[in-house]
Formats: sequence, C-alpha cells, structure tokens
Amino acid sequence: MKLRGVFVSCLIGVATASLLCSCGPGPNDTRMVEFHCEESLALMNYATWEVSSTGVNGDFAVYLTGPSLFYVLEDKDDGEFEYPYLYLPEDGDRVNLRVAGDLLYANDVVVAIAAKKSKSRNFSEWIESADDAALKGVRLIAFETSAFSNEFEKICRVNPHVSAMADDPNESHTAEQSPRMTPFLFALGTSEEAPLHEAIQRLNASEVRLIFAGDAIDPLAREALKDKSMPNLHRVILCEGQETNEFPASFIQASAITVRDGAGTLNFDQATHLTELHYLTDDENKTLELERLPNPGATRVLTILDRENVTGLERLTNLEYLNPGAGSLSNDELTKLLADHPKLVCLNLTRAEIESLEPLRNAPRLEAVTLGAFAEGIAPDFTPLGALKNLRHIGVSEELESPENLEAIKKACPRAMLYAHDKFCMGSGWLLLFPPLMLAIWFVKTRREA
Amino acid sequence: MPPRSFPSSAPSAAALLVLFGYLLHVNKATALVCLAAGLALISTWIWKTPLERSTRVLGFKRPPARVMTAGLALGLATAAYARWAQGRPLFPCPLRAFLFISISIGATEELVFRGFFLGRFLDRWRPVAAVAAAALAHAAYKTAIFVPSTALAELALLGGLTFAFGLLLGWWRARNHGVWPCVAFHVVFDFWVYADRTTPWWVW
Repeated sequence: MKLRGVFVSCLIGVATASLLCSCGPGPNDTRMVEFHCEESLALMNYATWEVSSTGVNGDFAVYLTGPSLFYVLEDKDDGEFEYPYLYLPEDGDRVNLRVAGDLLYANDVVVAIAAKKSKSRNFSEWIESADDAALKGVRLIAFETSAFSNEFEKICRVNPHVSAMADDPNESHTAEQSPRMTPFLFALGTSEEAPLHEAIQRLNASEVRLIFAGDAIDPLAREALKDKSMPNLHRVILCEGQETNEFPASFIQASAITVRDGAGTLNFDQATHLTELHYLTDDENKTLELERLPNPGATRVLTILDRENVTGLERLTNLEYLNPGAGSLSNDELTKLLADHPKLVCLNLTRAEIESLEPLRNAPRLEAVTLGAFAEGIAPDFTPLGALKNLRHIGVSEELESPENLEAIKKACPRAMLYAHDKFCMGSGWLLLFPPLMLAIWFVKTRREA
Repeated sequence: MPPRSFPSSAPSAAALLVLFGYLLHVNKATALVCLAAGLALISTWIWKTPLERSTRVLGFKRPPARVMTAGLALGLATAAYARWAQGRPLFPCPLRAFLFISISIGATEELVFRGFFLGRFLDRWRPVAAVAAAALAHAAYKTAIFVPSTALAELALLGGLTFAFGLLLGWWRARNHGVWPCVAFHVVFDFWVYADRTTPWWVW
C-alpha cells in the first residue's frame, strides 16, 4: 500500500514537473510553428516557396518570424482549392487548420475566405450570420469574382485590417475599399491596366505588415509607393521581373525579404534591418553578395537555392535558421557550415545531399532538422541525431520516408516530434485501451475463480 | 467481503488522465506514462473487486426504455445543433471509416467518466458532489487535449458544454439508470458529428 502511494506520487510529480517545464517563456517572433490539419491539405509557405504536404493525419513544423503568408491547398474531387492564410504570431506555436466550403479555420476561428465564383454559398451565408467578433477574426479574402462587394463592405466596416487578394486586379476589392482600410497585407496588382496607383494613394498603409508584389508593377504605382510610410512593414515578397533597387526604401528596410525567380539584383546598401532573407533565384548570372549587407549580424534566417551563386555566407554568424539549398554537401562542407553559424537552431537540408549526419554532433543547439536525401550509395545512419539533446522537431522529405528510416529516426531520437506521412497513434485514441483491458481482467479473473 | 478501499485511486486516476490529455502534444512520453499509470490504478481496482460489484460500480445495468430513448434523442438533437453551428450539412455524407473510431472513443469516455469515476465517487460521496466531480474530470480531460492549439474562448466553451452535459448524464446515472443511456448519447452524438470526417489530429 505504501509502495503504491509512493509510486503514484512519483508519477504525479514527474508529470507535474513536465507540465511546468513545458510552460516556457512567452512567445517571441522567431519560433517553430506546428501545423495540424484535419483534412488532407498542403500548405505552401510564400516566404520560402516550399510546400508541406500532409498525409491524412499530417502534422508539420515551419520556422517562422512574425506575420507570414501561406496558401492552404485542398485537393477536392472538383479541383484544387486555395485558401490564403495569414499567420500572425498571436496564433501561437500550434495551429489547427481546417476548411469548410469557402472558409478556412485556424484554431476554430474563420481567418480566411476564398470567394469563388462557383462555390460561394458558405461565404455569403456565413457573412450574414456572423457577429462583429467573428468578422474581426477574418484576415484575408481571396476573390475570384466581384459579385461579393456588399459582403466585403460589411466586413470592412467592422474590420478595417482585413486584407484582400485577387488574381485579376480588376476584381481587386482592395482598390475599391482602400479609403477605409488599413490592411495587414497589401497585395500589389499584376496588370498595368489596373488603376493601382490611385488605390495606393488612398490606402491607409500604416498597419501594413506584409507586402506581396506579384508580377511587374507599373511606374505610376511605384511612384505612389515611394511616398507611403509603412512603419510596421515586416515582410516583403518580391516576385518575377522586378528590379528591386527601384523599390521604395520602406521595402528594402523591411526585416524579412523574399526574392523569387528573376526579381532583379537586391540592393543591400539600405537593408539595415534585414533579419530574414529568402533568396529563391538560381539565375547563374546573378550572385548574392551577402558581404554587402550593412549589418550581417542582424540576419537570423536565410534560405538560398544554390550555394554556388552566394558569397559572404560565412559573415552571417548569428543565423538561427539556414536552408543551404541544393547540391551535395560533404562532411567537411557541412562541418564548416555549422562552425560558421554556431547559433543555428534549425537546419533545413531538404534540398541538400549529405554524406552523413556525423557533423551534426557539433551542433548541440539544434532544435529542428529537416532531412532531404543522402548522397547516392550511402546508407543513412540516424544515430548522430540522438546526440542532439535539444532536438525537438525532425522533418523528413519524401526521399527518406521508408518505414525503416522512420523507425530508425524514432529510435535514434525518441523525444523529438517526427513530421512525415506515416500515421502516429498519439492522441486521445489511446483511451481506447480501456475497454479491452477491462474485458481482459474480467476474463482472467473469471477463469481463475472457476 | 469487499476489498480494502483505495480512497485516492479514482481522483488520482482522473488527475492522471487530465495530465495525459494535456501532455499528449507537449511531451508524448510523459503523457503515455500518465495514461499507463491511470489505467493501472483503474485496472488494480477492477482486479481486486468482485465481478458483481465492479459491474455495479461501472453502471452495467439494464436501463429503462424511456431513459435510453431520451439518451438517443438528446444525442441526435445535440449533434444536429453542432453540425448547424459549424455550417455543415445536417446529414453526414459520405460516411468515412473514422466513424467507427469516433463512436468507440465516445463509448469509452462514458465508460471511464460516467462509468468508473462516477461509480466510484457515488460509492463515497453525496450524489451531487459525485456527479459534479465526474463532470469536472471529463471537462478537464477534454479541455486539456485542446489546450495547445485552441483559443481560450473556444476552450471555455468546450469545457463548459462538456461539464454541462456531464451533469445531465451524471444525473441519469445517479438516478440508478446505469451507464448505457450515457453511452447511447455519446455514441449517437459522435456518429452524427464525425461520420463524414477524416481522423482529427487530436485522436491519432
């Protein structure tokens, strides 16, 4: 009886201690964010252009700083549907995503609406029945048609921070509503025909936190942007065909910049606050000269596609997240990479081909690793992961997703969350052990007494 | 002769299940230790208790037909309301394999919280306190599972509704109607709400 009491007390003590340990310091701007999806969804990160596909029960983690733009992709019988999702730090470290018709829910709050031409019944009905608190939760609406201007106006009345995106700028409700809007996100148009500069001039841009610049922006719009003060601008995503040194200073002074495809050569001279850079262009004629950064110690997050076209990488000594891009990565190169960046907590090797994980033993601060492929002919050995005492998240790309590999990773590092396409029995379903346990006890007891 | 009573076994097991729910997505290993410890306490009691008494405590008795019907009807009505509130069609379609898991989990929760815990509490406490304690344990367990990824307002709603329905179901049980009307309510509710869903993250 005494032993039983001691045993139970110890268990409760251990559990309580774990609970207290899990309550760490408050949220900060740089964090691993776990996404849980009830349905089979894919999540595209607009900052890194990486798609995280989920299995039926897929979970995955993404390293994020501040507001980020995602597309949630749902593969339906009648085609693929996209829902824009604007992650804000107040969503926390774990986000449960689900879709219902036109509505995207994050942690059971409607945060985005995809107003489709053929599939908008839920949107209209929801707008009609939603109260002010629910409308204030909406962050982003993607329009395919202008048939919903009344509904959009209703949201804008109570929620001036709501943002709108449209594939066709002529459908852009942002332009129509801009006098009363202070959106979190401003998506620049994609056509010279749109009177974008007028919308920009009317826009109250003080609360804009994220700029998504699509294709070429006309000169008038550029001019209108130059006079816009955007003190809260955190992230800029630049795509296709823009010479970034022509953009207003507020763009270059954003703390997070994504450059995609042929988006010109970055003029780093004014990038004094750059903490996050995703350079997603592999044009052999362009070199990313990181040594030109005026404050390289400020940069904490870096994604590159091709290391061959990057110089000065070793100067970014305070990096916490690094995706070193595609290509083979020998043990010596990986060792040097880790030595140059001793503060790394997240290493994304999705595109790299590594020789082994041995060099990771010298990176005890790592909390998250995403594994890509091993060099051809090399059998993966995951035991070095076990030496990383702080490792909590392990992502596995499709190349490594064999059951044997997943089992070996779990064995090497049982404490870490493993993000892959396999199914884990790890939720409240464990309670189902109770009925068979009870029946087994009764069965054995009955047999013994008989 | 009844076995020696373990006054703290039921509350301890309930606390361990709540911890299990919270730690599931925080520290999986510790969560499973908590579950194992909770189930071990329950199993020990069942092992040491004569079959006749343990089935009585768990509430295995034939219920009046009207109470059983009320359980089924209330489960259906509540599920219909839940689907309406979520903006989903009234009838689940198409049915998915997860419905078998969902109704099993619903039935198991009732066997554990309205069966074992409430039965043990009713043995020692006044009915009002016992019903409230079992409902509180169930609400805490459900809420703990969602703590990591659910807004506070939603958690409060989930906990409040679970507690309220726990009081109603517990009252049925305390009026000596057994556990089966509670199981019927939960099974019908889970079937109607989850039959067209894929497995949610918090189950597997």
